[in-house]
Amino acid sequence: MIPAFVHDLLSALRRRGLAIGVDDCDALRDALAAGIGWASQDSLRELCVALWATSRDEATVIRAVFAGVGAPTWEVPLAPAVPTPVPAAVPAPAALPREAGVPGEPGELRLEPLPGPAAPAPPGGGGLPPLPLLTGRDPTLVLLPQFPVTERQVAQTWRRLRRARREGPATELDADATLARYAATGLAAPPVLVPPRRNTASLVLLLDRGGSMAPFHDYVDHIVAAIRRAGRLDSLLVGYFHDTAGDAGAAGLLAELPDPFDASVDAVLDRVAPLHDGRLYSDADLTVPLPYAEFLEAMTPRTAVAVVSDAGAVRGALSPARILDTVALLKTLTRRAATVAWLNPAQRHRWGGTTAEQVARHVPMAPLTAAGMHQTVDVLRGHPPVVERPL
Amino acid sequence: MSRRHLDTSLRFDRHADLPATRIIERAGVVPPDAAPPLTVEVRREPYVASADLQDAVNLAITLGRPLLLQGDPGSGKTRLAHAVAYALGLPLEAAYVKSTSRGTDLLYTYDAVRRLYDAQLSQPSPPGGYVTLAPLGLAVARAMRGRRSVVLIDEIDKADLDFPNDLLRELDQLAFDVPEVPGLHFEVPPERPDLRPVIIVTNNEEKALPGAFLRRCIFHYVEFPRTAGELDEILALHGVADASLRAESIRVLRELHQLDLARKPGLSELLDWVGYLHLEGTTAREVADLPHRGALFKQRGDQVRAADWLARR
Repeated sequence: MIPAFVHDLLSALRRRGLAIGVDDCDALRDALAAGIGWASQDSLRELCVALWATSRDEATVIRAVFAGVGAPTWEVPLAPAVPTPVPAAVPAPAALPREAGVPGEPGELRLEPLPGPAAPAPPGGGGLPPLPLLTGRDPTLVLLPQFPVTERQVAQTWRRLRRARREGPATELDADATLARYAATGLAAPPVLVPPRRNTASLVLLLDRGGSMAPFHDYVDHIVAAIRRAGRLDSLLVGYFHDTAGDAGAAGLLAELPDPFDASVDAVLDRVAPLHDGRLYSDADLTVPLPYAEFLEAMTPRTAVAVVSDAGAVRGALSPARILDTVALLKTLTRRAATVAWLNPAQRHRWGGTTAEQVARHVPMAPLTAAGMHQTVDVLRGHPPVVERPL
Repeated sequence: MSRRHLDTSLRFDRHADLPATRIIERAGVVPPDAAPPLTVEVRREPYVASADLQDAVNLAITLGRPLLLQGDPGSGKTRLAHAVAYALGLPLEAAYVKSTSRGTDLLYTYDAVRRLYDAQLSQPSPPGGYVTLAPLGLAVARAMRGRRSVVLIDEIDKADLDFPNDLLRELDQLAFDVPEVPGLHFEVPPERPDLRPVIIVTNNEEKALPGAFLRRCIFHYVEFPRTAGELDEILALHGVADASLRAESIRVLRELHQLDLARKPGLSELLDWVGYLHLEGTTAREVADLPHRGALFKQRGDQVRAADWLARR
C-alpha cells in the first residue's frame, strides 16, 4: 500500500515535466529497502532529490513539490548504524514509521512486507491514525515558476539548428581518401586527415524588452537560458531593444501613403531603407549599449536571427511607424542574407488588427510555444518560409 | 534498467578516523590472476564531507549507480573521489575526459597500427595483445579478480554529447566486449554487487548532459559551506594552524560574498589564499587589507570591486 502523498508527489513531479517512471520508483524502493531515507522526512526528501534530480533546478522543484504534498513528519532519533539486511520480500515504501519518538524503541523501523494483490489492507499498524502535524510552513506558499515549455523541450527544438561543416585542425581519418591514395601510388604514406564536422550555426536573438513585453520577461529569460545551456551553437549573440531597434526616419513616407485607413504600408515598402544605425543593448535592463556595428558584423549568411517581440499584439496597437521601423530592421538582416524568423509571445488570435498582423505579412511569425519554436527553427534551418509579401 | 542487487557491504563514513597514510592497491594496472596486487602508499586526502554528501555516496554504492557531482569550479568535486577512495582503502582509477574523448576510451584502447606493423613484419604479438585497458575497463577487470575500485570520471561535460550516451550500457551492466578481439569479454559478476566499482562523475555544467545518462545517476550538488564553523574545519584540516588567521580570513571572505562579484571566490581560492598567507606568516590584523588578492579574484572587474570595497571601509 503506497501512501497517498507518494502518488501526489509523483503526479505533481510529472506535471512539472520530470520524467519519473517506473524505474525511478523502483530505485526509490530499492534505496528504502537498503535502509536509506528512513531517518526523517528530510532524509526521505533528500533521497528523492538524489535519485530523481538531474540539475540544481530540478532539485529545487522536487524539494518544493515535496513540501506541498503533505508528507508525514517524523524523526527517528538514531539512524541505524548498520543497515537492515535486504529481506527477500522488498518492503513497501508504505511502512513509513509513525510519529517516532515513542520511548523505548529508538531507531527501530517497522518494515511491513508487501501485501499480495488480494490481501486486505493491513489494519493501520495497530494504533490511531497519524495526526497531521504542523510543520511550521504553509505548503501553499512554496511557489515555483512553471513555464509553458520546459528546458528539455527548448533544448530538443533548438538543437535542430545545425550547420555541420568540417572546420578546425585535421584530426579525423578519411579512410576512402587514404585507400585511394595508397591504391594510386602504392607507397605507404601517412593517413589522410580531414577536420571533424562541427556545428557552425550561429544564432542572434533580438529580444523586445519593457512595456507590453514585461509579463513575458521571465519566460523569455528562461528560454534564452535554456538555449544558451543546451543549444550547442557555434555562437549566440543576444541583443535587447525596446519596441523597435531604431528610427528609420519613416515619418515622411507615412504622409505619402495613398490610403491612410489602409493598415498595410506596401505602397512605400520599397522605399524604406535598411536601418544603418540602431539602438540595441547587451543587457536586459537596457543600460549597456551593444554597438550596432558589432551587431551588423554578426550578420552573415550562416546567421539565424530570431526576434522575440509581441509587436503591439498584447495591447492591440497598430502603428504604421512601428511597421516601417520594423521593416527597416528586417531589411538590414535580409540584405546580409541572414535568415530571420519572429517569435511572438502573444497568442495568434490576438495578432489580428495590430502591428503584429502586418509584420507577419513580411516575416515568418510563430507564437512562442513549443510548436511555434519548432516552426521557427525549421525556417532558420533554411526551410523556405511562406509569407504574403517577402522583403 | 534492469533490477539491481543491493550492496550494503561498503559504507563511506565521513567521521571515520583515518591514518595519515595507507597501503592501497596501485591503480592503473591489473596483475595477472595469480600474482598478488601491487601496492602503493597513499597519503590521506584532507576532505570534510557534509552529511548529505555522505548519504549520496552511500546511496550510490548501495544502488550501484554513478554519483554525479555538480557544483561551482573549485568546490572540491574531484577531491571527493580521492577522499572516498582513501577512506574505503580502494585504488582510484581516474579518467580525465577531454574534448576528443570517445566512450570506448574509458574502457580500453586498441593499438591497430602496431598490430598492422607486426603483421607486416611477421612478428609475434606482444604478451598483452594490442588491448590496453583504460580506467573503467581496469576497474571491471579488477572486479573479475575479486577486488574493488573507485572510478573517477572527471569533467564529463568536456566531451562530446555522444560520450555519456555511448557509456550507458557499460555503466548499467558493468560489462563490455572488445570487438577487435573476438571473445574478449569483461564483466563484473552480476551476482556480486560487492565488487561493483564505485563510480564518481564530476560535471561543470558547461554543456547539458543527455537525460538518459543523467537519470541513471545519483545527483548531488556540492554547496559552498554555509557556516563559518565548516570553513574553519576545512582550513584547519588543510594545515592552517593559526586560529585567529582562520577566523579573520573567513570573516573577510563572508563579507566579500556579500559583494556583487562576477565570480565569488570559492573553496579552492580560499584554500590557496589562506595557505599562502599562512606560509608568509601574515597576521590576522593584516588580512582585512586583502593582501595577495590575486589568489581570490580571477577577473579584473572583481579586483576593482574589491578595491572599491576596501577604500569604502
